Amino acid sequence: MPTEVILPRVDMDMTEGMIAAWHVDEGDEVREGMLIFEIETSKATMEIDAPASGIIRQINAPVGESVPVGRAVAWIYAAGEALVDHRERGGAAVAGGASMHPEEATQGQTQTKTPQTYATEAYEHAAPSDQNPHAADDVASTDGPEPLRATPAARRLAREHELRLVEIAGSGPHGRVAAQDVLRAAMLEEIPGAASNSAPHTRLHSITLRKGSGDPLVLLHGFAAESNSWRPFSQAVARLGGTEAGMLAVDLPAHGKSPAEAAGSLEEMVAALEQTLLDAGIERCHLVGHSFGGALALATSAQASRLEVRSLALLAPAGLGPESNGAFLRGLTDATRRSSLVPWLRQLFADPARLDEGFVATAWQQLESPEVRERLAMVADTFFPDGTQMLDLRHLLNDLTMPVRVLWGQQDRILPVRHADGLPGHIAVHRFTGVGHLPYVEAEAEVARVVVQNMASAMAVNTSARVAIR
Amino acid sequence: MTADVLEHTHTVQAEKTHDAVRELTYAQAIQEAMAIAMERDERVFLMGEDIGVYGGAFQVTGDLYQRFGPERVMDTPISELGGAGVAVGAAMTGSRPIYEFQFSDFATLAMEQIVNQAAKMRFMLGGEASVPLVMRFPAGSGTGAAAQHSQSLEAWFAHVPGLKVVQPSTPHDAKGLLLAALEDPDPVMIFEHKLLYKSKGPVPEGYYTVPIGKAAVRRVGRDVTIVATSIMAIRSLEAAAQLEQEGVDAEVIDLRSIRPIDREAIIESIRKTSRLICVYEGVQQLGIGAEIAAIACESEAFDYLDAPVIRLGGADCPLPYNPELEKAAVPQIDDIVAAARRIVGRRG
Repeated sequence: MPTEVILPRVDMDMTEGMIAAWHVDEGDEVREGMLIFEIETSKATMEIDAPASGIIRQINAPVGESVPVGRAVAWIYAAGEALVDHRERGGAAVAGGASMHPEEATQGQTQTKTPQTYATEAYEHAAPSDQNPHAADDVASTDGPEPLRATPAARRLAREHELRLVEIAGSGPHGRVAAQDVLRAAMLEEIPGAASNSAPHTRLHSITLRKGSGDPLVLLHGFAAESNSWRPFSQAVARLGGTEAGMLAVDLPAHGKSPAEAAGSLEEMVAALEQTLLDAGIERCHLVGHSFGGALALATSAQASRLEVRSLALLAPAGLGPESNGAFLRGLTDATRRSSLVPWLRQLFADPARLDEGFVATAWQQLESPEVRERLAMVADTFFPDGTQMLDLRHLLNDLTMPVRVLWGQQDRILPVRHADGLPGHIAVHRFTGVGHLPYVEAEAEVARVVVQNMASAMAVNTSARVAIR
Repeated sequence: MTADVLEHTHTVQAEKTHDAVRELTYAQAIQEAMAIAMERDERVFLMGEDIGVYGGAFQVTGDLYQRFGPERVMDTPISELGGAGVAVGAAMTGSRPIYEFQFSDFATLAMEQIVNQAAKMRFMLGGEASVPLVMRFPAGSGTGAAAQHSQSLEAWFAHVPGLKVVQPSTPHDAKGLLLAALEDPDPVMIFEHKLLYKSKGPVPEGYYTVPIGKAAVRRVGRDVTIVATSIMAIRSLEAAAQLEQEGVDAEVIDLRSIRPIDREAIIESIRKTSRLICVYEGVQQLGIGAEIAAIACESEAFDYLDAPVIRLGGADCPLPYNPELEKAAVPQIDDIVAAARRIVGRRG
């Protein structure tokens, strides 16, 4: 069985290479590791070594020819081994032997191959109807050209973002890659070296709101917000006294100053949050999560393996039912000017008069950038497509052993307060009248008190709040 | 669009007066355009079958016979080839004839004069003569007039160098394009949709033109570009209103002129929406939609396409007489809505 010499991939975005020079002729004896040819890509010239020892036969890519990555450009035969006709699908046809001189066969083959035949063959090899096992012998590996489906817009975006289309999952018919698939992939790859399948070492941005002692209070904001939104609330906690805990607010993935790469799934977000806190020397903490941040807080409490959550307060958390205000999510990410953002922000409050200039300015500061809005729209599309909450985290509540409280505004117009109904009996639920989606703003002092009491109860029980699921 | 046409229409636009705007029907707007033209220019006269005392098969010429007399509103015998020959000759020798074909289908009888004579003369005579002939064609289906009186043959003529082909969809454009056609040095064919004759819309009084070769963006949108001609532009707008309820924001381009065709308008819109639907009444295959799709594929718009182009055209059959089948044979509002849902990736 001859060894095939393939045109290798020498850099990531290479799809074909040009044969720049052959350093051997047909019939030459080569040793494994010996330089046999050079290829030129758009970026560099590379020297390629023989993959095996033997005799070079059937060079089928002349100098100057561009060859797709993964195609065989020659074969290395053992001495005396009969030539195999690689073009014959039957696989059994042998060109060598008494009837035909090996050199003739080789010559015929190299000279009759035109660029057109290469293209045709390459396509045929990749065609799904090709069931001949010998086809695999013809084309070296799965790196050969496959019938990739992608729209022109997707191809353009992939070029612009320097992404490889074959690595992007298509959402269209027959797996067709569309523009939004590329944009999603681009979002996930924003930070170099942070591919989604590698170990998550995503570092989230955080701000210290107060230095303190003991297990800190970690605050997780909601969709389209960022860590600074906790500043007034943290002062309310400080004013209240009763705890010396430090306070830390974290920007969720794709929010504020945090990178977007861990925003593809809740699992990645949990991993990123856990790693970020561990990196900051935090192994135990109290968690407060609002809305989308509530879902993350809940999942982290249940699933983080190295981080111990001592108490958990969920403010109008996502993940407890399918409904959400889809128009609000779209409104936030569609608004191209401040004036069209304001009516949506008003939806957050039970009393719209509570929406002040400062709140609008802070929100607009983040949402002004079309890139941020695009990123957020993708987060929304992942977790809340068509306004439907894809996260169903209710079951996680059952096994939590730390003190858990759920706080909700009765007039919440973003996530309905009825999602607080029917929770397990060990979860305390607080419903605030005259309060909308932002209990920590509209009922600042009361929420601060409940959070501090919750933290205190955790210390009193002094239980290991580790959760045993998964 | 050729440069000389651009220049020409700009000159005409500069003369545009700002008169009062009233509601007129499409047919009234055409009649008014012809009356204004005859008042302004004594070279202008009308020819056609039954356009005199009878007022035209679709009552478009109406009382112009009474107002302008038999020398300027001329009934012709039932011979489209003969009539077209007279019209071409008159145009070449200094007149400005407007020739009404009773049904656009009968253009087939006058192919020699339209395609071999009118379209070619200026080129074959080295520019020493031209054929400033305006031809009007009641076209399209929906009136129960069956296979020989319901066709949309405009694409045939848009294939011929030397002809200009327009399809107004509003009373405003029907008047403005007819007056622009009269200003044009070349033969212009105006395909008027029979179902539109009674439709109403705002029409300014007095003289104005609508540039030949310039499309109109009837609705601005960002999700999908619908390029439509004639009555299909109207149906596309109604479809867009339905789609808006579903959160699909369609841009509707009324092509108005299929030769010359407004490439820039098509390209610019696709660059924004990334999706293209072509809607036209003529038989779908080898029709206007293919040209529009080719513009998308051959231009810089290509790199912006995010879904296969969809063509919605007439069925591949002679138009049926049965009213239900007749409807089914050409794109309707529901077809456009369904295509838009499909192209943006929605079901239902």
